Amino acid sequence: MKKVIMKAEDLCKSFANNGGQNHVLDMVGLEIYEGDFTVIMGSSGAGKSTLLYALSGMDKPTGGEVYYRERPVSRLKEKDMAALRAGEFGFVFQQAHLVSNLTLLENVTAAGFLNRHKSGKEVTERAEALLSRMNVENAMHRLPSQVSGGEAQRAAIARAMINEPGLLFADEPTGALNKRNTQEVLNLLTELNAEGQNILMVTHDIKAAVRATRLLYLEDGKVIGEMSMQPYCKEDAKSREKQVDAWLASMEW
Amino acid sequence: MKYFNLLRADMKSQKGSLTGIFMLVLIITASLCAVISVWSNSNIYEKERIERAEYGDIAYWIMNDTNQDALVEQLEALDEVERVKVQEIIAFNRYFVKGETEGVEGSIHLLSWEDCGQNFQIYREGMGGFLEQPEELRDGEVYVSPSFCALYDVQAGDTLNLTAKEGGPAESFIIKGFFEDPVAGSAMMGMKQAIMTEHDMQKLSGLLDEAGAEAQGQRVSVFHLFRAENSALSAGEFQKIVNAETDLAAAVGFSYGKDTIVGFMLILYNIFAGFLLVFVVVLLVVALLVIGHSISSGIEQNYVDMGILKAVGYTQRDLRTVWLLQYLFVILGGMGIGIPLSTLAVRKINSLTVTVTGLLVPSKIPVGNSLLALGAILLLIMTFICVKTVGIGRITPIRAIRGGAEDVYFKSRFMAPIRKGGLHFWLAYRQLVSGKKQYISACLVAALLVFFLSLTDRMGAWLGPDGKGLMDSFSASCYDLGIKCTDEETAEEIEALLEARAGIKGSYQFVMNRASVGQIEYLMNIISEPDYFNMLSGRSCLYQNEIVVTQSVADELRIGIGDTVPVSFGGKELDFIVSGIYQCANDMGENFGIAKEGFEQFTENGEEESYYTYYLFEDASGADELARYLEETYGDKIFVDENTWSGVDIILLALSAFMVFMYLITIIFILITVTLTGSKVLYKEQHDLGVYKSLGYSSGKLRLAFALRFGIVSAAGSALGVLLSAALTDMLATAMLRMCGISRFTSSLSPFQMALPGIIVCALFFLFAWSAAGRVKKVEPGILIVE
Repeated sequence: MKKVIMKAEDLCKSFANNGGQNHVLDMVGLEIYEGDFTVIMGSSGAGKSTLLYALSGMDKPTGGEVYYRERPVSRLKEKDMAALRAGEFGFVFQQAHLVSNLTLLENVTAAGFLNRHKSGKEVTERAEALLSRMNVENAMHRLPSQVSGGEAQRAAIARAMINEPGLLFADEPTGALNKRNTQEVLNLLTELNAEGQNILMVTHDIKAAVRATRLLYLEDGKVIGEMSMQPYCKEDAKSREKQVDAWLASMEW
Repeated sequence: MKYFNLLRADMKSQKGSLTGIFMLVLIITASLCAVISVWSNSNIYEKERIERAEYGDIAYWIMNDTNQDALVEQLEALDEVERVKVQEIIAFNRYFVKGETEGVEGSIHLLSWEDCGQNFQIYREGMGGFLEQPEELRDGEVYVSPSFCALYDVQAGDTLNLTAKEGGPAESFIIKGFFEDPVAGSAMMGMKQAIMTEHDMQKLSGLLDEAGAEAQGQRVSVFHLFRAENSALSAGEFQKIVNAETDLAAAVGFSYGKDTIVGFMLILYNIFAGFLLVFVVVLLVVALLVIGHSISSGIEQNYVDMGILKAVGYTQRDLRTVWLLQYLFVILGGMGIGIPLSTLAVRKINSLTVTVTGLLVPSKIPVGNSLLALGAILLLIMTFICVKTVGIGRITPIRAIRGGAEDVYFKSRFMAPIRKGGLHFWLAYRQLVSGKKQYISACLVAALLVFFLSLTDRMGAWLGPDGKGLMDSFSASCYDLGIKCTDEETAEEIEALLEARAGIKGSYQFVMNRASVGQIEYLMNIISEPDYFNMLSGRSCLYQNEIVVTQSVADELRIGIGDTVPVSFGGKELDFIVSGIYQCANDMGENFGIAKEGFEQFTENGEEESYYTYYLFEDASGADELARYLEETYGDKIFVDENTWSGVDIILLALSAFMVFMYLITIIFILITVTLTGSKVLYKEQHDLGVYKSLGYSSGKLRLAFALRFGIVSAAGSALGVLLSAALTDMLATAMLRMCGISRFTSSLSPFQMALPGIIVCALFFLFAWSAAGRVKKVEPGILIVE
């Protein structure tokens, strides 16, 4: 029996639209388990990113509740929410979203310095190690404007990992990358998961989805399908793709 | 119509910035118009009033029994003299107010109501205007200047008491009301005038005659000399001719030119108008910096919109016209409201200063001068805006379509890595280093404001809590207490008492008289120990053939150290060498110093001067108390000079009020600067703020980092301001104070006093930035979401 680390109950998110309400998330209920590489898929406009942001506390839901390790996330005060983001959550956006006037290394350490249990030296050493692992050690002292999109995105993953988050959120992390960079980023995420990192990722890319151990399908603001898989290994990538393809077809993707 | 929609939209989107600029222009306009109005109106009004009072271009006070008719004849025979008016007055050496409780060391001149009452205006109750038909003054009543209210808290119904004979009974007069005295009405002047009936004057004259040698006053004829029409002679040249070609100089007690009297009367107005003008200039520079920043950030903020407008056919000229128009409307609006606001301010200033200046200066705004000054400011600002909007020409539709924002790239030798210890500081520092251009204006604003506040603080420190600095500048020499005794026995007794109570460090004899130098009459400071003179350059007049002069006298006579000048006193003329330039602001700097030994060459076998003995104490802290004790104990037997002056308290009060005003304006300016700069910076950094929040930075931490930036910037600016003030204050203050005869201003502050304005400005920048950064709370990491 896997341990639940995050749980959503009756999660709703509506936006005002031409005087009416557009219900993007409609009473969503789901659980995220320890050790999983969970991927949320769905058609365009299904509310995948909205769900990710609501779960991660980046956006406030209009109804329902999200629990992270039994703590209600939506009701946290701003300061506590910030502490949760700093200590427990890591986030990788579709764009790298690095702070423009900090070098790649500083972008990573800026997040790491929020960790009260580690010294500045420890943070810097870990940041350098992470950036090396992400293959951007040669660019770590450059500004975001001086590096490629792939390097920036890998630095963003390093940043998300600096505090060893309990859960790493990733919103289409390869959406803005070319094929080579996409593979590199996905390999990194897969490796991290293999090392025990919990990951919750939103994607519409089957090649990314095959890295998952658990897939959720979102349609019209509701989770309507779920599939579990064995941890990814390169050798059965083709068969996993077919498996995911078939499952998606069953979801009328 | 082409621009109307764009203009409306731009003004709507930039309403925050435009409101700030509106406020800045409003404050500058109101302050500038107030300065112009106070300065111009007071000068014009004082000149009008002094004309109406029939004060000559030069007035000579003739004390002794001279053959006046013969003198008048000589004077009227001069081509340069249009006419001579002789006014009979009585001069008392000392007067009392409120019974006999408050003795005042200073002369009062009594004028006849019947003779000159019609030349003066009588204040209504409350001093908000004048009586159209004042009641006839009756015997036993006097009118005095409103400065009596400021100096002695006198009200109508109180009494003015005069003692004709030393130790004799006082004649009491009820103060019926107050008259506008353009000659000696200012609280800044030691001499005062009062109007009483001819009958009372006759009575006092009789009493003075009876008192004989012990008389405390004397009849005086004031010769008002009016220059011939179209005369191009300066007051000095006019006086030179009169003194050279008539016997007037030998008969004169003292004389004052009309311009000198106007200078005395308006000294407070002129000093503070000068300071306020410098402050307005500082504010104008600050406003330009803020406008500059607002334009640069505004262009950046509207880059995409303007790029699109260019893509659809609008030219650079169209877009710049819209920007110019929106600022023009706002500036004109600020000026339009600033002008009437200044009227209210001027009315308030004038009503508050009636009891100080003695004048009810009109509050109307001098339209021509004000419009000229505002027009120049408008032109300056619009030219500045034209230059700053050049950047609109560099906008390209292509870059606009790509989002407009430029990639952040910077290289700075000041860059330092961010660190965990003091993380907020290092993040703030990075923002500053990477975006330094946008903080330069805030830095300069802090520098200018600190410079001016520091300058005022230095003035305050120079004045000292009891105005000693100013008094020392007015005195020819330093002293703690001056005593003049009527007999030798009392003098010895007092000296022993002073030695016992305060310890005498030094003493010398000193007296003031009047004499001509190069045919122009000046105040003469006679001293037994010339080493005590406050020398600026050269050396003191140690020998009997030497004198020292002030910078004003040196400039007026075009003489310098080493020159020889003729000095005339009591009908005798001798040549003296100018041995040095000294500091003494008495008579607006129109004075010279001479050693007692040198002066006695004029009085050989003549009348002995009645010298004060000036003392310098080991412990001067009890000088005031000692002075009071001596006055109470010895009464009429002594005269006490406390090295203080009634006007000092008023100057200190005015300076305090001025500082409060400046700090208030500074607070408003910092608020506007930080709000304008901060809102633009926050808008620009929304993305980075969202990123920080997504990493777990709380709003409080980000606010702190944001406020710290302004704290750091203002600290750098403040340091610059303090340095500027240390380097320039003495020079600027000397230039401003020269108009009242102070030719050297030296200031020093303790390190804490030096830092204080900077600390205040930094704290204000930090607080306002903290407050402006409140909107950080509204920035959610959700802005990074791309659906």
